[in-house]
Amino acid sequence: MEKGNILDIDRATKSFGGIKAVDGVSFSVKKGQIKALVGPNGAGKTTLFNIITGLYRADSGDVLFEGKKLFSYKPHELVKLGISRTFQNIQLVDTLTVKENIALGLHSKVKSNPIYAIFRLNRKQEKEVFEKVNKVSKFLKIEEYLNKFPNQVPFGIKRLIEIARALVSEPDLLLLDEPAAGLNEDETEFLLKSIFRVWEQGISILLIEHDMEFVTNCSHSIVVMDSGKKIAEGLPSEVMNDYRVVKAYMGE
Amino acid sequence: MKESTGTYVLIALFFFSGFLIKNPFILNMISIAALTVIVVMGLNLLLGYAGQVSLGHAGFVALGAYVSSILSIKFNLNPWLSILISSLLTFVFAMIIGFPTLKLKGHYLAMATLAIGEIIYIFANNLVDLTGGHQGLTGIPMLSVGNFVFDNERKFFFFVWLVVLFFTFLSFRIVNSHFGRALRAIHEKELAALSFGVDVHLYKVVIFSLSAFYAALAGGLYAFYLGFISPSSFDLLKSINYVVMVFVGGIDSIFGSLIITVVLASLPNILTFLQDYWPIVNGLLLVVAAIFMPKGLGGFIRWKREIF
Amino acid sequence: MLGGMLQFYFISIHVPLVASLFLVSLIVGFLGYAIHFVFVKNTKNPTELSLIILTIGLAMVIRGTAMLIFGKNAHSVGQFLPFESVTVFGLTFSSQYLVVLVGALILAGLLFYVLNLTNFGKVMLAASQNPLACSIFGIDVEIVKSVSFFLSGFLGAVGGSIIVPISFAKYNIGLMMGLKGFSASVVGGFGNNIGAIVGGLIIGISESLSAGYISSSYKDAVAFFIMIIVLFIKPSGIFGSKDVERV
Ligand SMILES: Nc1ncnc2c1ncn2[C@@H]1O[C@H](COP(=O)(O)OP(=O)(O)OP(=O)(O)O)[C@@H](O)[C@H]1O
Ligand SMILES: [Mg+2]
Repeated sequence: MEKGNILDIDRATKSFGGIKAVDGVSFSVKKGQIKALVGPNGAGKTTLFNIITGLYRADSGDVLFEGKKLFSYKPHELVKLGISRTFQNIQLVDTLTVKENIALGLHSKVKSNPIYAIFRLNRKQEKEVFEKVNKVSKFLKIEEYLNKFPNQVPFGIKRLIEIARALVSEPDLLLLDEPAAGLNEDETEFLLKSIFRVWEQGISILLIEHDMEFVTNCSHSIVVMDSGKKIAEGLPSEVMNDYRVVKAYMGE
Repeated sequence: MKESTGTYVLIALFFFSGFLIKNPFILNMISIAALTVIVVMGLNLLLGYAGQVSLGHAGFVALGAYVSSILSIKFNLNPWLSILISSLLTFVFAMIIGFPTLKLKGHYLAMATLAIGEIIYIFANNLVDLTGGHQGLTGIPMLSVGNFVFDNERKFFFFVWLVVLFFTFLSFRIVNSHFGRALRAIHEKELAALSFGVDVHLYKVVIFSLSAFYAALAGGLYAFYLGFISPSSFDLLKSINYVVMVFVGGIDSIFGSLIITVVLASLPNILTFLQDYWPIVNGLLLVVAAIFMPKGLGGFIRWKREIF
Repeated sequence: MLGGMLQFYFISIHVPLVASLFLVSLIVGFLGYAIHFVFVKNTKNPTELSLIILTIGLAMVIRGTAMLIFGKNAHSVGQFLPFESVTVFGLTFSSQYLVVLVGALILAGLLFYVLNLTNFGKVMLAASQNPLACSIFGIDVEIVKSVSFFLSGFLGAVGGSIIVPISFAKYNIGLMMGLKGFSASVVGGFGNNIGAIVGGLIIGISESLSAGYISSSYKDAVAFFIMIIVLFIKPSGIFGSKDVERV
C-alpha cells in the first residue's frame, strides 16, 4: 500500500456461475481524489462496489481502506469506518419519510435497541441526528421534501436523497453508483457542483458513470473496466485517447 | 390523528365496554380475543415491520402457557413469577433458535418457523408426564393480587385490556424509534439497511425474540385464566390465524391489528355453524388480502406520521 | 396431499390404476397452472411477502376444501402391485415401497433430464436467475413460469399418489411430507440434486433410528431438529453454495 491512498483494490475477483464479473482488478483511490470508474454495461462496476462494501464476498483478492483489510469487517461495520455509498437502483425505503431515510445514514451513530426505544434513552442523539439531516438537506437543497415520502418526489430528487443519506455520516470515502443516471441537464449540472462541494470538504470520491463528458469534467483520474477487467487507468485526457477504451465503447 | 392516539382511544372503548357487557360468554370471548391481540401485535413487529414471516408463533404461545403452568403446578412458583420466567425463557429460546433460522428468507423462513412450531407441538403432545399429552394440563391456579382473585370473567376482562394497553405502548415506542425505522428498512431494502450500518441479522433475531416474548406472555395469561390447556390450542392453524390477522389488519398498522384481531378472533364463536369452513375462510382472506390489498385494511387509514 | 386424495377418490370409483394416476397428475398439474394464471399473475405489486401470504392462503383453501369433501378421516388406498410384499436380503417390506422407490428414481431422472439436458430446462433456469435479460432475448418468462407451476403440481401429485398406499390418504398428509422434503433440501443444500437425495437419506434414516431407539412419537421432530442443526453449522447445507442477492 502506498502512503496517501484511502482505498487500495488488489486483484479483486468475483464470478457468478460461469461469468467472471470482476476479474483481477487492481487500482487505488488517493486521499482527496475524485476517481471515476467507467465501462460499458455489464463491465462489473457495480459488482466491484458490492465487493468493496462487503455485500458480495470476493472469490479472491483484497480491498484495503486506509490500510485496513475490509474483508475482515462485516458489511454493516463499514459506515463506522468511514465508507458510505449510493445505489444505482435507488434504494430508498418507501414507508419512511425522506427525513427518516436520510437519518438511516446515521444509523450506526445512535444506540439502537428495543430498550432504548421503549424508554427513549437516546432522545438527545436523535435530535442531533435530525439536525444533521437538516444540514445535509440544506447543502443539497432538498429541505422542502423532508417530510414527504419517496414516492411523492421527482426522480432527480431521489438521487439527491440517496446522496444525502450517504453524506450525512460524514464519510471519508464516498462511493457513488451512477449518480447522474436519469437526470436532466440542469439536475446533472447541479449534481456536478454538489460533488465538487463535497470534495472540497475533504471527502474522497469513487464514482461510477456512463457519461464520458460528465466524468472528464469532474474526475482527477479514471479507471476503465470491460468484461470484468481493468483495461485502462489514468488522467481523463489520457484515457479518452486510449485506443482500447475507444474500442470497448464503440465496439469493433 | 396519530395512530397511537387512535389506538389508545380504541383500547379505552374496549376497556369501558366491560362495564356495559353483562353476558359472561361475550366477556370471555373478548378477553380471549384481547390475549390474541397481544400475540398479533408482537407478530406484527416481526412480520409487518421487519417483513419476516413466522408460521410458528402458536409454538411460542404454547411455550409460555406450558412452562408457566408447569412451574406453578410442579414447582409451586407464584403464578405471576411463573409467567414472567416462562416468557423470558421463551425469549431466550427464540433467540437461540432464531439465530440460525433467520438466516433464511421468504418461503424458506416460513417453512423453518413452521417446523419450530411443529416441534413444540409434538413435544406438548408427547411429554405426557409434564404436559398431560393431548388430554391437556389441568389444575392451573388462578391469578391473584393479595386477596384479590381474578375469579370471574369481568375482573380478567379489565385486567387483560390493561395488559393490551401496556403492549400497545411498547409497540408504539419501538416502532417510532431509531430501531423501528431500521426494521422498516430491513423489510423493504435489506441490503441498503446493511450498507448503512444496520446489523440486519441481529435485528431480525432481536425482533423475532421480542415477538416470541409477546406470544409467550399472552400464552401464560391464557393458561392461568382458563385453568386448563391442551395442545390443540396451539396447533399450526393457530399460527396461520395470527398471520391472517396481521395481514388483514394491515402490515405495519397496530390499530388495524387490534381491531381486526378482535373481530376475527370473535367471529368463529359467533358463527359457530361455519366451524368447518373456517380454515377456508381464513385462506380466502389471505388470498384476497395478498392480491387486492397488500397493506391490509389498516392501509386504508391515513394517520399523521409520528416523528420527533 | 391433493394427489393422494384424488388418487383415493378415483380408485374408489373404480378408475383403473394407470388411468387414475395419469388423471390425478394432470388435474393437479392444471390446478398449479391455474393458480399461476388466476392468482400469482394478478397480484398487485407482488412483493416476496405477499407471494408467501398468497401461497399460505391457497394451501389453506385447498386443504380446507379437501377436508370438507373427504372428511377428516384417513382413507386407505390399495397397493399398486398385485403382490403384498417383497423380500430382499431377508428383509420383507410392502411392495408399495418398491413402487415408491422406482417412482422416485424415475421422477428424479426425468427432472434431471428436463432441467439440465433440454433446451426448455435451460430456459427455465435462466428465467429464474435473470428474468429481465430473458425477456429481452425474446423468451416469454410468463409461459416458462406457468409451465413450472404445472410441473410442480404434476410432480407433487404423482408423489402423493404413489405414497398414499403406505401413508393413507388424509387431508393433512401434505404438510408433513412437504416439511420433510423441505428439511431434506435444507440439509442437502438448496438447488443441488445430489444434496437433495443425500439430505433425504439422512433425514429418513435418522427418523427410523430415532423411532427405534427413542420413541416413534418424536420421529417427526427429529427431521426438524436435524434441519435446524444443519442451519446452525452450515446454513447453505451440506452441498450448498452461497448464492448472492442482486442490488
Ligand atoms: N447477483 C448476481 N448474480 C449473478 N450475476 C450477476 C450478479 N450481479 C452481477 N452479475 C453479473 O455480473 C456482470 C457485471 O454486472 P455489473 O452489475 O457489475 O455491471 P455494471 O458494470 O455495473 O453494469 P451497468 O453499467 O449496467 O450498471 C453482469 O454480467 C451481471 O449480469
Ligand atoms: Mg452497475
